[in-house]
Amino acid sequence: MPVLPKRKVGLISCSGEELPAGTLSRVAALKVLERLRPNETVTLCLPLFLAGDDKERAFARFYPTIAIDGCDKRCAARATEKYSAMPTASLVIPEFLGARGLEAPHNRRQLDAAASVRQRRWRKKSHSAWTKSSGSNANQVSIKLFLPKRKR
Amino acid sequence: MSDPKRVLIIPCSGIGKAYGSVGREAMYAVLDDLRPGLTDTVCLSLLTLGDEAAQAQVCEHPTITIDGCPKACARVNVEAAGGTPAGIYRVFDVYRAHKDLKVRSVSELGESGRKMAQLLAEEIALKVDQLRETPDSHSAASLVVDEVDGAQCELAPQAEEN
Repeated sequence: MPVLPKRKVGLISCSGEELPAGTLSRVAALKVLERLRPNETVTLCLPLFLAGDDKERAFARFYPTIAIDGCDKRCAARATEKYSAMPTASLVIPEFLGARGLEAPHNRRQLDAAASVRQRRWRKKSHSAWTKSSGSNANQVSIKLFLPKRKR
Repeated sequence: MSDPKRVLIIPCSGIGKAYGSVGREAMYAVLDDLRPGLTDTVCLSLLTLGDEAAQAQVCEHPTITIDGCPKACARVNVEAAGGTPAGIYRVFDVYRAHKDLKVRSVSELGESGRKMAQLLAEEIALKVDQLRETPDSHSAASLVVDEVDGAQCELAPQAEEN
């Protein structure tokens, strides 16, 4: 049986410098990349993607992507769809937090203390159970992604 | 943002590069600590996607860009939006001047990385003062950075993760 190249997932975070939720989107993408799924994900730089970098656009055209946006302007999702292909999943931070009754961060420079505590707890919980072989996590917090509506 | 002299500081979003994180931290250090109320920022992605309000801001206000890699997305995108950066900074230039400072990682700058951001922020704060004192602060960047081979920037070292 041929060995197929690993199909990595691209994370496209808006990074929104103006908004605390933009910082959260960036931090979330980096947590996945560095700690939760280091071998299964890559990040794509959105301004580079927008500026016309061929490698970034080609990746998003052929590989699954998750757009993480800090506001309802949805720059990451819109850009991915415009220049490559519709993102496989799209997540908007305020909707994500609202659906879970979580308070939005107040500090755009770094996550506030409460968010950091939540993050540490969540990381501990997810690290304890996730295994590469199963690819799943018994204790995993359910993350329902907001899938984009298909065009007809 | 009613004050026309308010200076916009726009870092690259560089999510995959540690120097992108340094640039972003330097920008927040200027906005929050060094020149609060005199400076502001605009989402680079919003600007690049053609948001009219964001484009109007970079055309109406003096703008400083900070880039973390040789592709210079912040500068290129500000120029593409019709703005003329009045100050152009690259994190790599801080490293060239302070080679003892090494960034730990993208998500955690470490002590050296934060020091690098602070040094850059202090230099940018002085530029902000200069721009606010200059009658025509929309002129092109007065800081001319040395041309550096892109590969050299890419190879800039990071500290080993502990």
